[in-house]
Amino acid sequence: MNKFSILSVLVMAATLSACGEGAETAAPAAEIDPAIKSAIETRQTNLKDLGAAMKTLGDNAKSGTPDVAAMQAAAGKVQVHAAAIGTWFPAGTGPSSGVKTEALDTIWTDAAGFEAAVAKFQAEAANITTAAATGDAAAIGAAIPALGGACKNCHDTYRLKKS
Amino acid sequence: MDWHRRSGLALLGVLAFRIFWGFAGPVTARFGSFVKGPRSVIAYARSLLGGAHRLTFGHNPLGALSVVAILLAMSVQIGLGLFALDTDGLESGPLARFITFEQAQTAGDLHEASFNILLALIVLHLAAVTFYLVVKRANLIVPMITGRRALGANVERAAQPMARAPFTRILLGVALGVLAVWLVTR
Repeated sequence: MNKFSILSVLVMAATLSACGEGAETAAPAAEIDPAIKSAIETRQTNLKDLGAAMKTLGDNAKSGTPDVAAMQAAAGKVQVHAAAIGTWFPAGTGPSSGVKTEALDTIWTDAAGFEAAVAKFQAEAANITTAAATGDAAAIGAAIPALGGACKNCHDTYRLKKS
Repeated sequence: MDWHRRSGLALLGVLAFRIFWGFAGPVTARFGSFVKGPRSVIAYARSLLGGAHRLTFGHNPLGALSVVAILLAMSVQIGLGLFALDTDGLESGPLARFITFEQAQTAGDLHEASFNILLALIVLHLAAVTFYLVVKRANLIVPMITGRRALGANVERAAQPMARAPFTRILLGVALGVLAVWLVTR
C-alpha cells in the first residue's frame, strides 16, 4: 500500500469511530418531568434577571450621573425575587434532574444552611428597598456591597464553581 | 479584583504606548522595519536550523510574528476585559455599562478563554528567547533595553545609522497611554 491509501484508511477509521462515539453520549434513558424542567428554567431566568438588576444598580452607583428611577426599579426587582427565591428549589430540581443546572445537592442535604443563606439575602434586599425609598442614589449605592455579599454567600456554598 | 483592574488598565496604557511606538519610535521599534513577508520568514527560519545564521539588526522576521501575535492577543484580552461582567453582575469592567447584562457576561466568558491563547503565546515567546540564549548564545533582551549590541561577524549591520527617538516623542507616547486609560475610566 502506498502512503495515500494508508492515510485514507486512517481517515475513514477515525470518521467511523467518531460516529460510534456519538451514540454513546446520546440523551439519557429516563424522560425529564416537564414540571421539573420548567421549574429549573424559570429559576434560571429569574436569577439572570437578578444579575441584570445588580448590574443596573452597580452601573448607576459608579456613574457620575446616576439614574435614581432605574436604581429604584432594580431594587424593586431584587425585593420581588428575594421574596420568592425560597420557592425556586423544589425537590428534584438539582443535578440529578437531568437538566443542566448549577444548583448543588447541598441545597437539599444542608437545607438549614441554605435557608439561612436565603434569609440573609432577604435581609439585604430589605435594606436596599429601604434605601431606594429615600430616593438618594448615594444611599442606594451604599447598600450594594452588602447585597452583593449576600449573593456571594449563597453561591460560594450552594452553586457549582466555574472551573 | 482591584489589582486585576489596575493591572488591566496599566497594560492598556502600555499597549497604547507600544502601538504608537511602532509607528513613531526609532527604526528598530517600527513595525514597518521588521514585519516581513512569508518568504523572508521561511528563509530566516531555515538559516536558524541550517547554521548560516546571522543575528538581525533589530527584531528578526520570526520574532516579528511573535510581536504581532502577542499585541493582537493583548488587544483582544484587554478589549474584552473593559466590557466584561462576572456571573453575579457584581464586578465589571469600566465600559460594561454601555452593553447589556448578557453581552457583558459573554465578554467576560471570552475574556477568560482568550487568556489561554495569550498564555500559550507568552510561553512560546519565552521558550524562543531561551533558545537564542542557550543554543545560539545570543542575548536578545539586553540590547532591546539598552539599545546597544556588540558587533561581531554573525551580526547584521544596520541599513542606515541608528538614531535615538527624540525625548519629546517618548513623552507623547506616555501621554497617549495615559489618555487611553483616562478615556475608559472617566
